[in-house]
Amino acid sequence: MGNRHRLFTWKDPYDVAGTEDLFVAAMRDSCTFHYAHCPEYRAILDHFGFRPEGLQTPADLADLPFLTTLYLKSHQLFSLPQSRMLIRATSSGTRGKKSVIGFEAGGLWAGVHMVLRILRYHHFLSPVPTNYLILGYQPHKSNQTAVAKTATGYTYITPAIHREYALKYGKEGYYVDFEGLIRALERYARSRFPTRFMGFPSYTYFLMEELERRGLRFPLPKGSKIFLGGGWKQFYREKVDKETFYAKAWERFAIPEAHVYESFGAVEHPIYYADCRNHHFHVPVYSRVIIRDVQTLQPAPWGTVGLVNLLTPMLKSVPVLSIMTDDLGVLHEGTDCGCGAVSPWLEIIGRVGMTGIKTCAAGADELRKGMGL
Amino acid sequence: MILANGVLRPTEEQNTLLEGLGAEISQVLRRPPPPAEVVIAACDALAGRLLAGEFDGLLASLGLEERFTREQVRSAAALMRRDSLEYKLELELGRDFTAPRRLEPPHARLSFTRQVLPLGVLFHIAAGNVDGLPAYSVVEGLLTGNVNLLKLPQADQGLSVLLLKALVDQAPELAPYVWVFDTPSDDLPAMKRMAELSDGIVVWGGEGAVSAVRSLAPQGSKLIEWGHKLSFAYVTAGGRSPEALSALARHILTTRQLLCSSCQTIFLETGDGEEVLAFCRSFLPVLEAAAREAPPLDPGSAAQVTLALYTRTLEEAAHSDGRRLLRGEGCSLTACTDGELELSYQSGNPLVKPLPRAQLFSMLRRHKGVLQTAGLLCAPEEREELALLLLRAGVVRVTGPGEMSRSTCGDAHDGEYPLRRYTRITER
Repeated sequence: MGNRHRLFTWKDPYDVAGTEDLFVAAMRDSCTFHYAHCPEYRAILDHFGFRPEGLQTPADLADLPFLTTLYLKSHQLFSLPQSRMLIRATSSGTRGKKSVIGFEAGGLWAGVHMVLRILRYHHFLSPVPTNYLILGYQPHKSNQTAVAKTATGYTYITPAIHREYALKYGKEGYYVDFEGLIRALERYARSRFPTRFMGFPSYTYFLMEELERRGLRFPLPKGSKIFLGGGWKQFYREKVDKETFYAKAWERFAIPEAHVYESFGAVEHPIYYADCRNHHFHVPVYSRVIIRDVQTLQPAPWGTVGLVNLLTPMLKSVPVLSIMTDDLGVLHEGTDCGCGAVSPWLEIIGRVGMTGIKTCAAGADELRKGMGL
Repeated sequence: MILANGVLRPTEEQNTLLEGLGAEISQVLRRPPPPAEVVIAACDALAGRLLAGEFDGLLASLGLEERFTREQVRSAAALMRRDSLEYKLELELGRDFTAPRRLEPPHARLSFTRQVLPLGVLFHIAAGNVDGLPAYSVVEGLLTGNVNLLKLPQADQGLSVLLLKALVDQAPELAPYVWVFDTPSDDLPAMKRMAELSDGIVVWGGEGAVSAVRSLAPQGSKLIEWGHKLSFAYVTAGGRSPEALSALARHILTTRQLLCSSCQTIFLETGDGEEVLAFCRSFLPVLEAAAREAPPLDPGSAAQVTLALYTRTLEEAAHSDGRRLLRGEGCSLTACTDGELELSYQSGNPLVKPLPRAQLFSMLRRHKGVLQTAGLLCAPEEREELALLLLRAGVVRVTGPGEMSRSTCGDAHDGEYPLRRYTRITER
């Protein structure tokens, strides 16, 4: 049995301390494989004078050269022929460029084990039939983003009675079907079975605001839940105050705070991060996080803000074993949380660049690229 | 924070306010617009208070005292002075532009009255890269008698709304003409409602606002876009004086390459790649000297630059595209082999490219929609000819290396007078 398989079938998904050596061993296997099969990755490791054998202890993980999401958006690297990739996912690509990541059978299988263990840990699996309201895109071949795929994917963890989408695909592309949502909510509120909301936090928030504006309330059956997911960026861009969000969920749908869950993942780091009952994102065994200094890129101490570097040995198809996001975050010691999970937890603070602005020169560049120049 | 009819209101009241705004604006539009003189007097008084240091405490409480040097406050105030605004109005619209004129066009055998009136309602979607710009955009709208709805950029820390509050306190009759909202760009229902209320949408590029606005703007509403431009420097063999090069370096570091007018690419008049590298080696210490003088980057921008330069290193390791990154202290230069205009990594990290004069014109034509300022470093005898060549290719402003981002009253925005676009010509 390989190290990757042992890691992804580890019983307790938050036993980070107990899997340190196994994680390094799986990373070394992964690194050796990608070094041998991806010429660009090999050139990068050679440039930094790093060899896969250099991964021996947990401390060595910080020395492994990382790829940036920025780099992956302009260069597609593969360590397996594309015919071996069963699924392809692209990032949402807010700036036009998208990363394309393929999943081979082994990686996908590891992912299935991971998802099942996380879902079980958080008690998300249920045999009770459920109505779904997906505040995201209706699946369509024109939309290959991972966000669209996962939102629908999650509707399979309980038997689905009905799936209603906020963004429907029509003759002229996607459009918001607000009236359709209201009709579905009227039905769901009368149903014997619970409802689950899936989708972007911002959409869910605006739906609740719009209902408030129209003076509409739909108390949903007991056991109804709100799942918030999407790209990482969704969580800080809105700056929606969490307390306000929970209060609105209770007012509009009679869903208590304990039944509002958040999760995130990135195409380049397809690990399922789910929040604990204190709404903290603990690092699962499949992943490690290194926060790096914004100037020197050296690992930063606990509790300091820095660039978020994510590591996982999940995939053989693409060399994403250590990737640097363009997010700024903080890693907290797990013992600070008190939910029972003791692995460290990650807090995303924001994105690189000046707060919330894109400069006009950068805007021009985008416009020009959009015009195909 | 929201500014509605002269009163500061909490953000949560946004939707309630928007609900009744249409009816309220209709009432305002029926009345004659406020004379420009009222706006000028209020701005002039505000500028005086700004210079007297009355707002220093406010700037400090918003954490902006480091961003705003005395010099910047002085130049911002200068744009709001009476003489500046009168000069601007006369330059852009002519003296007494609101006065009705009786016309009898030749051969028409009829006569009518022509009058310049405000567009009506302007919806300003402001960018966050220049502090105070959102407020200035509203002042331009007020000078022409418009009702102004302002959506603040997310980066605005409250400065614009408080400045505008001070302005309408100065002249309460302006209060119904200024509405400021701190709506996030992806609150589409609210953005749409504001767009529907307006006759013209003024977009200062950025924040993904433009694409959102395109889909929101009601049929026939006038989209007025500012920004979305790139600027560059062109350096001839005769223009490489130490003074010119350090002026260029100071421009690059002080604007942090964030403005439309900031130099992104430095073109050298040469076809020789070795010369580009040699230039980079000699220019890097000049850039480093300017970087030492410039205020330090905030952590978010520092992280962005670190990531971009590290990514460049990855690219050099795995893909030889002929570019070479030369890292300096707090800045860098990237020597390139192609000659196309391109956005740099910003914050003191320009690109350097070879571009023989014979290829300059055709290269610029390929980018005609985004051209703004060209900083020209050349011998005095070359200047007129080169400047005209650049302007004919689509550049709107040619300056010396240190003045690329200069701003004076009565400036055209991207080659147009903004006040003309905020008005319409009526006949009766």
